Amino acid sequence: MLEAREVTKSFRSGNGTVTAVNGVTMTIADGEFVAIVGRSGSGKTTLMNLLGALERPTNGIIIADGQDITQLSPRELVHYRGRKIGFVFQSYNLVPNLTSTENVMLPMEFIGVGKSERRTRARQLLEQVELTGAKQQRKPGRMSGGEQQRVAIARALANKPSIILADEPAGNLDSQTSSTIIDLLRGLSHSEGTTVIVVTHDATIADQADRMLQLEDGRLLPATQAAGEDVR
Amino acid sequence: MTTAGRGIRNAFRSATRTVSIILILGLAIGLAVVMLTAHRSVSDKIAATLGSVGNNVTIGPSGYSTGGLLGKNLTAADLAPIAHLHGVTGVDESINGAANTIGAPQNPCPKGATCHPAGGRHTIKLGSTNLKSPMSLAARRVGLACEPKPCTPPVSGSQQLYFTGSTQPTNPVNIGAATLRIVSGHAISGTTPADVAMVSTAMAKENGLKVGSTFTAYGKTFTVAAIFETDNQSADNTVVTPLPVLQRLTGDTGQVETAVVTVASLTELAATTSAIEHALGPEASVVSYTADAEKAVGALDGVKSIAVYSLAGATVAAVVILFLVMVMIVRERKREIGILKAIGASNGRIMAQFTTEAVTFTLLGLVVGAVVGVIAASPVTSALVSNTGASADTGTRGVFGAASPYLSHLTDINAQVGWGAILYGLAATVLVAVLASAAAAWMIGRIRPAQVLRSE
Repeated sequence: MLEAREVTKSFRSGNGTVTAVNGVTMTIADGEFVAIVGRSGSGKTTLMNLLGALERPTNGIIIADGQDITQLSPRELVHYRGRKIGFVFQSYNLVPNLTSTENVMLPMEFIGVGKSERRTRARQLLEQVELTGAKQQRKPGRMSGGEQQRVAIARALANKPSIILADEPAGNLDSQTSSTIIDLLRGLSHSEGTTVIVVTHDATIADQADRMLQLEDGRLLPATQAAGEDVR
Repeated sequence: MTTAGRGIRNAFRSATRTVSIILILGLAIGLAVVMLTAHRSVSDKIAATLGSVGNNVTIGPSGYSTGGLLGKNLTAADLAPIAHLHGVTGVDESINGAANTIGAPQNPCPKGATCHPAGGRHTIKLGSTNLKSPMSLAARRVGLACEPKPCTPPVSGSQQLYFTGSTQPTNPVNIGAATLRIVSGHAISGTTPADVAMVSTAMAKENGLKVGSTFTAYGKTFTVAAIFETDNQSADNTVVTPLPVLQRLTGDTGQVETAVVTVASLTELAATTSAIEHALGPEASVVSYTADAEKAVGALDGVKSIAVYSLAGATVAAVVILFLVMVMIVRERKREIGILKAIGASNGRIMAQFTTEAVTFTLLGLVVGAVVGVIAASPVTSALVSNTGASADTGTRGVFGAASPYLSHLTDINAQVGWGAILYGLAATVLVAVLASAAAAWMIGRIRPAQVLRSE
């Protein structure tokens, strides 16, 4: 379970302070597929970065699987990100001079998985996202956007994380590929029991989520999820 | 793929850039290798030169060291107290002579005058011999001078051989060389009255001599006891005999022209030289070659300084080049570093990857630098040596008006890139890479993944 309690994140900007996330409190259950929506500048990405331990909140606590991640040391945060979190970005962010397989192997290397095991699992994951054969040995520059995002999803799954944070995962894709990618994430959420949090401004994607959280000016608004529940 | 593997692969990410970086680094490292080699070669030469001068003090009649009119020869009795002075470990006494080759025009010294090689001050006791000179005609045109002036010198010394009688016949100093090696037979005793001699390989070849062969000089028949090689071609024209033999044949029994005193150590040289001067008084000239040698190698010290500064400059240039390259690369890959951090890479692992990349650049630069070094070390060292005045000092006449045998090859420096220079280069290369990566590491440590990923 992932829980945020009165989380605030402020930045200095010029002479003043900007509060990107303002007192957000929420709970996301294991295996849930949640969409965070909001206009540009509403604090979606900042909230995702806080949940993924890429930034520390100014106030409040975040508890992941019973552990307050705001109290972790930098070393423990690296460990937390490596084992508990999988990131999927809008621009895919694959390492350009590594093949698909090598990109997927990368997070496993960071937590000390052996080379042959890394390679085997990377191939399995790429097959799971329907990248087979020669595509597994291609470098990102020779793949389509959809294929690169599949590699990015496979990389996010490499260390069997309990949470996948996806920031506009279909932002650069056409509607058909976008639908395929979201189906893939939702399928993972349900079949693997992985919590998937998707940040998006696309209502079509948000509609496919189990629950939708809406941010406005850094505050979480009451929103409607697919089943019609309140978010707060 | 491991962290190191990624670092190596990243070094080749852009072929054009990689080649440019390696060439620039290679030139800087090459300059460092050249200067390191020049420094070592010159240092070795200085050490060898000062080492070959050794702890010797040379004694001659008054006037020898100034090139003026010569005083009387010393005698064995004059020199006897020297052997007992503190610090003295040996005294080598010698006398010189010359012989016209048979069939050549006799060039007698004018009556009442003493003759010596032009530019030198050694008295010539002329005799005759059936040996032929191994020197080329050009090399034999030494010319003679006579004292006191005015006097008419002999027509030419071109047909003469020189004789040296010595108590230590294998001492190369007696024949103007720095080294003397017996290649056939056994060295003669310096005190035997037997008519035996040592000749150079060139002399033996010119005259068809072997150990046991005989020749005539000063009306006596000599037996060749040994054949030797030296580092000085002009010494090939000298026949070495025991001291008493040449003293007898030149009519100078009991007399000594020069004595080379060996002192226990360089630190005792000055004190022992003073003690010898005090013991012999004004009738003798007492000189050490050390002062000459130190003056001559002073110019080479200048080369060493240039090499050290250039080495430091080249090393700093290599560090700066790589530093800027790494800063540029890290700035260029900030986003990638942010991604690596986001997916679980520690700062240390990312730093190791970039350090490996820097080491790869410098190792390839070292290969280019080694090639540059092998090609350029010798000509650059020669140019440095010839432009510092060391050449001029090489020609300086040493004590007694003759060129010091120790200094005759001062500028002949063999500058070759050895494994030592390569290993030093390797160590410096790793150091350069680590220093240059420090800035990159600092930048990597400061990169916040959320910040760089926010710019999507």
